Amino acid sequence: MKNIVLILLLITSLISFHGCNNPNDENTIEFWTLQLSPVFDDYFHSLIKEYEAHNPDIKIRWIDIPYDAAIQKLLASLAAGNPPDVVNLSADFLAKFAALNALEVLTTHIPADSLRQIYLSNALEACTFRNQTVALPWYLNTYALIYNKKLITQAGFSPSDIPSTFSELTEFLREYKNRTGNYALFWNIGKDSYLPMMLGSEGIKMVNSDITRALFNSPEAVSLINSWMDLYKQGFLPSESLINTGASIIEPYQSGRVAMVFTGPVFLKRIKDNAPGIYSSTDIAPPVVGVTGKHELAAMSVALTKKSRNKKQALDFALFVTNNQNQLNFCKLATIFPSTQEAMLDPYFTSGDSTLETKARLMGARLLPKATRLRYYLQHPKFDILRDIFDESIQSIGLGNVPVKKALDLAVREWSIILGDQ
Amino acid sequence: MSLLKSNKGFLFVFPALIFLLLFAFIPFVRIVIYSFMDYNLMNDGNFIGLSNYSRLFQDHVFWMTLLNSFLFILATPVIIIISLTLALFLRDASARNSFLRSIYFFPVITPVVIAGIIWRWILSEDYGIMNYLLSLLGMENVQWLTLYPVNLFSVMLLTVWRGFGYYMMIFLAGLMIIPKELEESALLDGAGPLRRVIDIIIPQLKPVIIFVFVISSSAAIKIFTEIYILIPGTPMGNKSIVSFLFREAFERFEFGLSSAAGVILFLISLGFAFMNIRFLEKKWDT
Amino acid sequence: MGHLTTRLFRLFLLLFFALIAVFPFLWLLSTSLKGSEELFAFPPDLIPQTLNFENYSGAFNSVPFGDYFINSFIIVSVTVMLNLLISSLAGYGLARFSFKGRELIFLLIVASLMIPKEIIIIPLYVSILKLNLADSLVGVIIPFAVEGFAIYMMRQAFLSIPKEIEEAAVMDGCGFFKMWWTVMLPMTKPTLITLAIFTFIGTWGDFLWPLIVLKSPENYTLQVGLSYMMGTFVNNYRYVAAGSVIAIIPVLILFLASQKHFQRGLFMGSGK
Repeated sequence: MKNIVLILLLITSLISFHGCNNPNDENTIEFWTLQLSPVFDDYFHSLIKEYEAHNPDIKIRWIDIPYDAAIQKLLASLAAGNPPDVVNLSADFLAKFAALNALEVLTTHIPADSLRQIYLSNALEACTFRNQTVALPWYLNTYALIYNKKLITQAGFSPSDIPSTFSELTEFLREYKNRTGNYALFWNIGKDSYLPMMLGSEGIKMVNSDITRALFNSPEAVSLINSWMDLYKQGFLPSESLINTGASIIEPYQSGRVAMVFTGPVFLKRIKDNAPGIYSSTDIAPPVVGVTGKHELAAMSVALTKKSRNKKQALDFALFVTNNQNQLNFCKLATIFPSTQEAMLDPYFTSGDSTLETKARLMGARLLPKATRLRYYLQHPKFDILRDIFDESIQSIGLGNVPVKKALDLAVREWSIILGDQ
Repeated sequence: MSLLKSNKGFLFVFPALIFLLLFAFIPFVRIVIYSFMDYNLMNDGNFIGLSNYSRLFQDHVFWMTLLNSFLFILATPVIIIISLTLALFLRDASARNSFLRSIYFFPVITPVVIAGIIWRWILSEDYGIMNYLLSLLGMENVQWLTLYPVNLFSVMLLTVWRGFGYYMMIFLAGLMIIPKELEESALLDGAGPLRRVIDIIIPQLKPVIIFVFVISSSAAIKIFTEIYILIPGTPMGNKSIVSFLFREAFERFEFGLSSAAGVILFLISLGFAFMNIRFLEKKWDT
Repeated sequence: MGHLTTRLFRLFLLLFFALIAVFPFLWLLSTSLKGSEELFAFPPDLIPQTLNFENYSGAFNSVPFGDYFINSFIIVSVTVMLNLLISSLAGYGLARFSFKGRELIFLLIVASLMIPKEIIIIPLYVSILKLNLADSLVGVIIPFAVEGFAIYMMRQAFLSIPKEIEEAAVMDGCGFFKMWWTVMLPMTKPTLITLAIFTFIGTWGDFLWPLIVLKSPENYTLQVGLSYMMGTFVNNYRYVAAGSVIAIIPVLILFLASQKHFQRGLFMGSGK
């Protein structure tokens, strides 16, 4: 009998153990970040300690969540009525939550002009939904072409052959495969497709400017997508290009199987840690672009939720996290870039030694102010469903042998239903 | 039956009853209610009649996933043939046989996620060992993961791999209850091993075979994890009905629509359950 | 002559399937020990050139792998305990007492087996959110702490115990709960052990529900964590392979240590 009591006690204690998740009082600011723990634990612990020292009444509760779970987790917390006060979101996700009226419009607290004086204009632009600033810009990133000098030379190319435009890239992919029999790089076209970004950089619109009509079945769009589907069908891209997601393109590069990877310079450190041999022959080139010369801006932001019980303090903390000094300190820990004008002028981003990481940093800092968000449709609250429809239409071309025009017409029709919904 | 007549019995059953009510029956009623509602967690939910069902029936992706879920049943005959053959070979409880039984059983206890991870690597199209082995035989690269319906076949491969040891054990149990005399008399009549299997063992095992067919089919119709791990990036039209339900509910928060899909899945699995009950009744009758 | 070919064929088939069953594990083990530049080697190396144990530490350093392991262990042990406790109580009540509504309750338990877990997760998720149990281990454990099938199995186990034993105990003035605990429960030990093993293995491999409930990496179970490692950001196959090897070890040990219960459980399981 005693044992049963023990078991029951254990169970009740386990259940009550959970009780720590009670709603926040107004002296606690709950702060969510996206996939920054455990790598940046030290940074955030000292950041929070400093803030709490200046604001003795306030406690910051820091919670880190995986990037892929961000949307679901924030929606769930909104539904349960206990969202965080301050939340780090990819600017890509802002439209979804702003449309749900979950995010605080910041210009009601700070004049728009003073925001413009602090932050880079393209970063601030990425935090705007229907002409309202719904988040503060945080750290930024852009793409770079990372390549393996040794493999390139072995294939008989010189550094001047490194492609800088998408049309040069298509030529390079063919030539490299023909010479070596190997793929030049992994390039996601089907899932989390690079095609919307390429279309944007080539100046081909996917949607009209007020996002009410889909345009990606135009002759220009069909022709660009067609050229990449040809590359795929003729075997110049790995067959898994159609289903691979996100960072799966890194591993083939760091194993030395492919000569290039098109990704954020932030991944250099991972290559350095995981594959020092490959890293030693790695070099970096500016992002490949289309005829407009524009390249993609990846912006992280910090937003305030409407349900926060202490908005004033939450805003204060958000401004603290994104201020010059803290952004600069943060950027020194990885190859990422600050969104404040002043931090960008720091010598750290304008001069330095001759290591690859420095080269990547200086190059990024030089290019970043010119980066823009090329995937305009992300401003639509249902961007995730739109993205799925587009990706699946590309997959149907590559796998189902649906003609390009037909597949895109169909996807445009499906988009129109959603865009008309709004 | 000399049962203890006491309402204390209810006290023993009470905790279980509470759990089943809270976590099986009430949710079940709620899913039926949701299926008639426009509910996305953020709103309170309005009744919209049969709209979810009509949206579902007009969605060709839904029909594709339903079709795929039924296609997974095709793995069942393969699994039955393999597991029955192995069970026949391993009937005698020798040391070698019980060692082999354990080997075959090991994939069964392997978590699905891990099995999926292993096979995704083996079937990787550009660098996997499977395509390498095929190239040694002079064969072309197979698009195991990307090309529909080859990727459905890969998922079936995974389920067969994880399942044949389990069904082999069930067949071994079934073989134990076949009267030895039947086989012995057939042996005296000069029947060869194949004849004995066809004339005696298969008819005797018929109830077990039907049973295995029913449980493996009703598992096939609910397949999710195998797909989630093995072919995550493929279009929804390559996946199963539970994958569809999962996306609508937990990625898009369309609780009404996904509940309607859930009700349909329930009706299908109810069909299997009735097949199961009918079979079990028959078994007790004979 | 014909006899020999049959025997050879039989041996070939047995070995072929043994290879199919075992090879994927060896391949996983081999991958988990490879270096980054060897991972995509073509032709693939069956045996790594050098043994890279740092993949194992890499799994622990890149994600909270230790947490995954502990979480899985907590969830599995509490689920096993709850399941055994509640189903043995219910099984006893159903097998030995006659009370109002007994038939109905038994019918409900059997009917609960027909509701697929895959569909009731939708309303369960809503409840878990409203109860503020999302992203907690408790939220993972509670809804599936009792299974209708376990109750059914325990009922069968109690039914097979001769009645005289209790009658003697009742004569001694033993209370019902005490009798259940001291007299009856020990007699169902083989079923309890089998049930514990099967619940352990089933819960250890559970994926769908923990995937929905758990959102923070420090709360992940091994299965959710491994799938996360396969996903977008971590994506380092060598670490995933090393993690998978670690995650198999507990079930492997349990399996090797309890061979006879396995066979027994399966024969009982065929009533499922």
